Amino acid sequence: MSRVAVLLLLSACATQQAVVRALPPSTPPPPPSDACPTSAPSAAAFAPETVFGARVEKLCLLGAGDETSLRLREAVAPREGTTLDADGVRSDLTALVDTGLISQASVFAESLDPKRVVVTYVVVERALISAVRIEGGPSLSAEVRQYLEGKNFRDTLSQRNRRRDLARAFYDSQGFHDATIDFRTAGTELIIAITEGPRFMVEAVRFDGAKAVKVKDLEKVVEAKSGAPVRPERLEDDVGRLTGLYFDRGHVAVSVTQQQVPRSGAPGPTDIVFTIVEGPVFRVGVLSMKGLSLGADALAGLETKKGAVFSRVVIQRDLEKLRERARKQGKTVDVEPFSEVDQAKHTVGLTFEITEKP
Amino acid sequence: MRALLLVLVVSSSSFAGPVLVDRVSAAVDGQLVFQSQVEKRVITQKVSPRVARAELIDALLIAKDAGFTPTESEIDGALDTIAKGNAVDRTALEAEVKRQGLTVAEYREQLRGQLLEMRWILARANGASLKTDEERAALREKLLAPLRKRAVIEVFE
Repeated sequence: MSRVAVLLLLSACATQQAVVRALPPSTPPPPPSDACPTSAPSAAAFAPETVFGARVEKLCLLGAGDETSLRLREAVAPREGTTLDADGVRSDLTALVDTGLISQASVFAESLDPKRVVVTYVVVERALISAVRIEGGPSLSAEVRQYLEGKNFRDTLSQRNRRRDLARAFYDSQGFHDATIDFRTAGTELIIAITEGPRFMVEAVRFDGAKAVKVKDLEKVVEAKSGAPVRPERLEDDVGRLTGLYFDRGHVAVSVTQQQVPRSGAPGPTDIVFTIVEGPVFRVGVLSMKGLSLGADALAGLETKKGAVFSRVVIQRDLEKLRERARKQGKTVDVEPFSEVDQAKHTVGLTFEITEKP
Repeated sequence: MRALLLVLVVSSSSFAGPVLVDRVSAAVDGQLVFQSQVEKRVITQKVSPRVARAELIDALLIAKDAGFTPTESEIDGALDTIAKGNAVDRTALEAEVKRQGLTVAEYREQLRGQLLEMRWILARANGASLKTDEERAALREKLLAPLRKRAVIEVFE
């Protein structure tokens, strides 16, 4: 313990001596000023714990022009007079960046005494862009290129996001899924650097495991087409449409998955493979109705019949028939179909529940 | 001697120049990574500032892509599991957390991030094997690559 104390003393003395040497003899060190600094502190150590808990005596803002400063001050003004803490500082930094006017922000604090600090926000204003230059991107359409360009706007995050999203949507639609879109500034010029990467095109669409439904019928419902760009975000919709088609043909236990299979080692040419496990054909089991009666012959008038191949689209038509029948009786109803699947008999029992709407 | 030491310490902190309290270290689609988070991670995870910042950027990308946040009760559950796994009670666990330089709130945030990442990977695994650390790391990188590509990431040195 005594060795530690001596070391601390020595190091503190060294610091004190350095300060004393820089001043005229017998001049006391100047008290810290509460004036705002005129330049950003150049070598301030990260030491927030030394100032947390002190009262914010004054707020200063450096790095922004007059007009921007006014708006930034509004964001952080409530900090003055409060106790400096970590959450408050982060909240201020977020508020400053959220104005969209600045990119970088740092917070410095200088103690006036152990209980009071002057807090200085040093910001880097986002540039006013005079022109946009696009590097790369030979496949960009003229329309998109025109949209990306522009002049006399502030280089805010939302301006970049808007341009990034548009370029991204274009490249995704064209199959350039590895395209990178980067932004940087050079003076007042915004540079959009695009690397397109390989173009992913559909070579072939395969339906592995399809037996009960003709490939021609399957091709009709999917959006993926040979010779078109690969659209990964739409392949799940294709899976849904294929599943629906099988459902309408009684295959209620069908499973459909999709995979993008590269043709060769190099990225680009791609096969879209839908793997289908069809399962057995299910037929309609017991049919019944409950709730509000629409007449004894209501079931008989339906297209869905016991023993017929189960079809979701036919059931949807029957639901509309039942609503129409109720309307003719002067009633407005909700019709809910409840199903009961018998895996052993391969049947689907159906109960239509009818409730009158108020 | 003690009194003298105290005087010297108070005097040097009062007249020390300005200190950096915090700054924006990076922004991911407008969400901020703070220098204070980077510094904390450097200490607790024993990584370089560059690695710490990259990890925090990835955490923001994952949180945004996951679209959910673990609840307080899920974090409490995780804390209980960790305490039980180390044969200590919650009080002892929290004391150990503080000993390692974290507040309980910071530790809970770390757990929140870990739980979120775990659930995010599971949700995106799509049948991929996750049995080994290498498999999990490979899938994590595969999932993060397009997110990094699509986000506007600004890094401030």
